Amino acid sequence: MAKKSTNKPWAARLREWEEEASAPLPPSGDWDRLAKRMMPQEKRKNRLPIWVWWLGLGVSSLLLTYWWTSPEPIDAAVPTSPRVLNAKEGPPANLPPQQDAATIAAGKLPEENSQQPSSLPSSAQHTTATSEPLLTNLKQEQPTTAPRQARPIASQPTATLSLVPAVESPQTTPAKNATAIPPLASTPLWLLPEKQQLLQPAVMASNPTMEPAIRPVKQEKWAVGPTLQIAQNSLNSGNTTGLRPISSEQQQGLNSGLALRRTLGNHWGIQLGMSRGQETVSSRYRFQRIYTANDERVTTNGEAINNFSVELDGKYTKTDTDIEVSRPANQPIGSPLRLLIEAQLEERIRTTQVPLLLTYDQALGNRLSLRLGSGISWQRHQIQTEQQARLIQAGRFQVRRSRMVSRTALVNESLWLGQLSVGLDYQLGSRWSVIGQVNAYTQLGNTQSDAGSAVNYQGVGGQLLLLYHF
Amino acid sequence: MSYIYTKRTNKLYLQDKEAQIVAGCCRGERAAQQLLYEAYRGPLYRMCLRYAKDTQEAEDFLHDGFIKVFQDIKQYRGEGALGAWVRRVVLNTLLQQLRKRVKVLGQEFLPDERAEDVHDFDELLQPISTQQILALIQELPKGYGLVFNLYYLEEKSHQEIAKLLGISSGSSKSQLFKAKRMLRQKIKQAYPSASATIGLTLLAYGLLQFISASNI
Repeated sequence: MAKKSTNKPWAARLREWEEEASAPLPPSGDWDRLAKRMMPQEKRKNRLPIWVWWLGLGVSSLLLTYWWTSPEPIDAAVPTSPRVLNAKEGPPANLPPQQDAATIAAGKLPEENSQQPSSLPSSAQHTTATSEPLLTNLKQEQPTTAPRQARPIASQPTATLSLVPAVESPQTTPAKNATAIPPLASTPLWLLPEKQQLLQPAVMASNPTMEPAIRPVKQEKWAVGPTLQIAQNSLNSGNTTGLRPISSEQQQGLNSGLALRRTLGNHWGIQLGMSRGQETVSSRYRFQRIYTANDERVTTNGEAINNFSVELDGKYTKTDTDIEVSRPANQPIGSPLRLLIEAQLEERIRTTQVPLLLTYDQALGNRLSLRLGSGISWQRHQIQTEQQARLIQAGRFQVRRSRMVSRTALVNESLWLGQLSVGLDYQLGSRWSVIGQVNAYTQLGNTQSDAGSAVNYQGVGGQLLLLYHF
Repeated sequence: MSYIYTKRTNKLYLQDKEAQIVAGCCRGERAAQQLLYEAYRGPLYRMCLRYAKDTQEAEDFLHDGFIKVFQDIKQYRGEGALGAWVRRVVLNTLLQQLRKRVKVLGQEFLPDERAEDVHDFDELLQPISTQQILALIQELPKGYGLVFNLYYLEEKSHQEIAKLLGISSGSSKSQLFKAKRMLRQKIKQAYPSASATIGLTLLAYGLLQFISASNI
């Protein structure tokens, strides 16, 4: 391909000027800035404020300590099995000391063994001789030979759940008796309905030794489920060189993901989530230009045209905007006019959010509870597509053409946010619950990124969680 | 390895030590990279100024170009001048960044206007200083300025510009035409004396021609 030769004197002058040593040089310190940009990307990413690491470490330590030292939710809250009660406190009032356990183990109805007196047995009746056969019977029948269809406790709750203070009798609770009864963790699954019976509010209310009512779904340690969040954030850009928006930029969108929750005791819980979504950052700009007739060029069809250029600084992009406005040439304008131009820039980003919350639940009723949460959230914003820009108006002039071309100034960024949440937890059934909550965010520290980074990020979000407890 | 940089004699020094510097850059030595940068940053910065709107953008172009140079320095075989190779890499990096804008511009600004007389364009630029010409080029919209730079100062043909920017040859011609027209308008507004001088010169030349032709 043959090259043309312009041979223009002014072009030759310009080329010579570029080679001159006295011509302008880059601003001082340019090598340092270049060297900084050439640093490995990993090093730059790790520049989180040190207090964030200490805060995370402290919160993690607290959570771990609480986790390991907190009592078992079921054991601490309610006596879940008459056998446990026997081992700890003694027999119930209307059953012989070991009979209930033996009955449970044998899968027999209480009536079948109701030969014993229903009143509180005296200490004389609790002899080793009377308890030994029962123990033997228990040991013999304890293996899982009991028929699954016979659930004595479930069918006769009043007989087994009328709990009384412990009977002070060393003979009724010998050590080997306690060891003979399997611990709760090894309780056969067919005994689980008795736990459910014990958790009935009426039963628990009749027993002063029990803690306040706890919903059965809360007894499950883990919960997992989908989340959906509508976010509305407000942010201000810093380090801008071009035109800044007239107000804070608005970021809104929809996120969806998963949440995993672990119950810590009766009220506390820890919740880890991960959600992704698309959000749009909207920035509105207003700027003025002086429109003079001297700058106009008149076309053959009677239009007077003028050009304006401006650079809009978005959060992630810088947009060069060239606007061509026109007016009828036959309508003269006197003095220069002040032209007010408005434009809007929309940048689409992909967000990834990982919140870690410590939550506190307070029951408000049988199914409803208030949930308060606090924690930190890591967010990653990644520009997804070319932004959309549109010219809104240019005074009373007709916008003939507009061209908005952007270049990406910031590909992605990571933020640490402090998060507070308040919401309502509604129990849908024995396994499911739905939570509606409002989250408030504020950025911790400044973002370490190039020009256009967010220096102040605040937002709220409405979140819906559907949790399955297991 | 140590490097000595003397600003006054940098070119001669680089020619002597060119291979050594390139080898240092290949090993990623920051001192060698700095030496290479200091040697060529001036002309390349001024080249970037022609394509940029302001000094900040020019510095960004320069830095992006040198990062590319340091990444690709192993591809330099020493067959040509190091300065020309560095300039080519910086220019290509710069053009890559500007290409998207020109694509959009090429779609929106198809030639749709009647050609006007821009023959006096070169004469208009003659009495204007270099810095003033640079300022005028910087004021051009990006697409206009890009094609103008490539055509007149990099001496690329319209076919080459079209290939570089991914636009049609017609779009390139249209951009150049509009750039020249806009430049002419700006010159006439900013430097009316220059326009008047040119006009008077042309008038005097015409009168002389007329007088000589009519043997007055």
